[in-house]
Amino acid sequence: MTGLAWAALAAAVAVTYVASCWWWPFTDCGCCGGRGTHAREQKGKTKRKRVFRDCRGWRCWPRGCRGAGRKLRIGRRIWNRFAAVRDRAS
Amino acid sequence: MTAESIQPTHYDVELDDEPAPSRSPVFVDVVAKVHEVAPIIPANLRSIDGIRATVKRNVTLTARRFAVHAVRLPFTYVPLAAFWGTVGLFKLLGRQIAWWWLAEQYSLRQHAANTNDWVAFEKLLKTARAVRLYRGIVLAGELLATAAVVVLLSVTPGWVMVLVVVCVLPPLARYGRPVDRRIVRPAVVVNRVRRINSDIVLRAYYRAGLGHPDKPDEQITFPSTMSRDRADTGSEVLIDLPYGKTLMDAIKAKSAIASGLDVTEYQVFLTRDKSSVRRHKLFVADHDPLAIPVGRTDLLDCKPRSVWRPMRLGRDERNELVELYLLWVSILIGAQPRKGKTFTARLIALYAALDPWVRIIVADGKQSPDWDKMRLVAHRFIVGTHPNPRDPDPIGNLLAALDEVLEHIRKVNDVLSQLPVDLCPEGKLTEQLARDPRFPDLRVWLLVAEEFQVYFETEDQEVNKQVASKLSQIQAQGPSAGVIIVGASQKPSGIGAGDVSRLFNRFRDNFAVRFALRCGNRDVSMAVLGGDAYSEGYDASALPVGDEYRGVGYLYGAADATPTVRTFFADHPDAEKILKAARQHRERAGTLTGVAAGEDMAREYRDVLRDVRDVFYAGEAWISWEQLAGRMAEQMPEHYADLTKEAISAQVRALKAKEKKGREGERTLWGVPLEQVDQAIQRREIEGQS
Repeated sequence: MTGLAWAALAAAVAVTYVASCWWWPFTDCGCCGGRGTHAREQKGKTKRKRVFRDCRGWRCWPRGCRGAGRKLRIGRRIWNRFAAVRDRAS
Repeated sequence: MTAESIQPTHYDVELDDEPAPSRSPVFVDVVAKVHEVAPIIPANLRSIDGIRATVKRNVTLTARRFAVHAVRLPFTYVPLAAFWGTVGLFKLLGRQIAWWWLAEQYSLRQHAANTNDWVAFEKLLKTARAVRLYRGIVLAGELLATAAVVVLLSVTPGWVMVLVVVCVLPPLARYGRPVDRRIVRPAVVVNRVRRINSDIVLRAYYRAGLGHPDKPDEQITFPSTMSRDRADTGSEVLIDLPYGKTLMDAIKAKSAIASGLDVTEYQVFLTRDKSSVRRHKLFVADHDPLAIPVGRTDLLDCKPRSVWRPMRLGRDERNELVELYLLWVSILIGAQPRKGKTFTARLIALYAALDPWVRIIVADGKQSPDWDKMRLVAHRFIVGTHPNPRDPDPIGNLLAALDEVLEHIRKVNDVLSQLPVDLCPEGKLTEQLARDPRFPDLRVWLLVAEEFQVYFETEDQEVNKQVASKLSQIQAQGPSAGVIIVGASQKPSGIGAGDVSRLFNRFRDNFAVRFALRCGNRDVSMAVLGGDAYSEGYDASALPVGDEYRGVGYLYGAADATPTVRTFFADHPDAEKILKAARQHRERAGTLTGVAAGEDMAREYRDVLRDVRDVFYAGEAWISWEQLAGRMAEQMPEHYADLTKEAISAQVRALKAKEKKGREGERTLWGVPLEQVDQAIQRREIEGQS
């Protein structure tokens, strides 16, 4: 009975997640927090200065958003992959 | 003039050189297209009768529609409207919510998500939020207004609420119902009507192989414009086939033409035009006209009729009345069993029965109960071919009846030949003479023979010959003396052999009017209608099959046209009602005779030779006086109860039949050969005629 309840709960969560992926397909980039850039203090100089770079490159791999700040959610990526397969089939 | 100066005049001499073939284009005359013109006033509105009929039809139709919808309203329409109205309300709400939420933008946003275009997604989302805000305010206003109306309605009288529901529910129900499920169903089903035009006709004829559109000398042309017929039941047009093609070609291709016109074969009618063999009239009925019953006969009013006036037989394919003039003709009715043959013959007999001055003889070879009630008016009534409870001596009765008819013909001719010109101006029977009490012999007679072929196929060949001979004689002489012959048969061909066959064919071929209902095959149709009718395209085996087509047949020979007639209906109870009335008419006129008057027609008179002939068994060539006397006393006690062999011997010998010795068991006795009796009968007939 407990297993069945867990399964039902998992199914409800999955459905909710899929629905949310359909309704809100984009989310903030987990790497840059939605800003699209990363900032750091420039070292070795008397006057401190902030330096920015886009959220891309080997340091952001694999979570970089290429400066957009928004990324498709994992569920939506899977959704789109299946949709592409379906479109090709039809 | 010298010989050299004479120029040759023979046409073999070439006067000019053969011109070189030209490659320049050859121009032909431009043929103007014949335009079809619509009639200014439709055919059904050109006469007072037509207008009246049209108005009547439309009023009837409208009244019927009202009645049907009124009955359906509380039981069907209101429940359905309530259900679909509720559905429609929710559907409307859903649509408003979709409008509020900018549902049409969903696909754009999803496309942006599919292509990972977050900029477009953000832009669309921003627009959607703004629009939703505006539309939400509008819908809130609408909701408030609706609530105000509901509150207002709760304090108004009930009829206002009803009025609002009546106004609001139908549109909501219409909006809520599926497109293919109508709430208000039509009260009158409008059948599929095929309106033909010249293009369709041409397509049909060309597809049927009756011409070729690209060959100038094989094109179909229209000598008349296409129009509706007078009764507004179909379209008609005159058609000229290409030279060399005839109506028969069109008739053979009738199925293909019907296919090309996209109608059933029974909606297509091709009739000859007298101006040319390649011209005919094509009539395409809107509906299958033969499947529409024409109703019961007007004879049910039971009023007296006159056989000197045409009878109403039925209606043709254009719903026009078909009348049949019975006098001076003989009528052959042929069909398969259960197709209306007996009903048609009986309808004619019923019409004659309502004329109290017509004497009716019925010979029912089928031995069915259909004719039984004719006893109420019939002068003679013969049932079957073998002795049966309803007729103990049918063959004897038939021969006596035929003799009586022949005697009547002779008397009519004798009386007419002696009448002065002022009474009989044309030497023919007239209506006045046929009702004149001074001339009781001048009456119209009707001889009805149901399944008459059975009387040509009895077990006794001699009887067959006599029946064939007498019927042929009546057929030849009767109609001019006012004897109407109505014969009905399943298959009037291939009957008998030798003289019987010849006489049968003569009897059959002399029928002037033929009515063929559905026949089994083409041969039977030709036997009924004749070969000429088939060549004109009338094949009764091609008539439609089905209960609704009973009583439908070709009436050939009654007039120039050969209509396809749907006969009026008179079933057994109808016939009984009509015949009871007919009997009363005859009782009042004092014209009830024979069987109907309760007379014993079977032994009305004594004919020794005939009676002797009748007691011979089949195949018996000689009979002794002793045995002859015994048989006659036994079979005809009313005349020969005390007959002795001496008495019958004396009577027969007095009638010029020679006696002859013969063997009966071990005894040798005097008797009479069958041959001598037949010769004596023939001799008497010849002497009687001279």
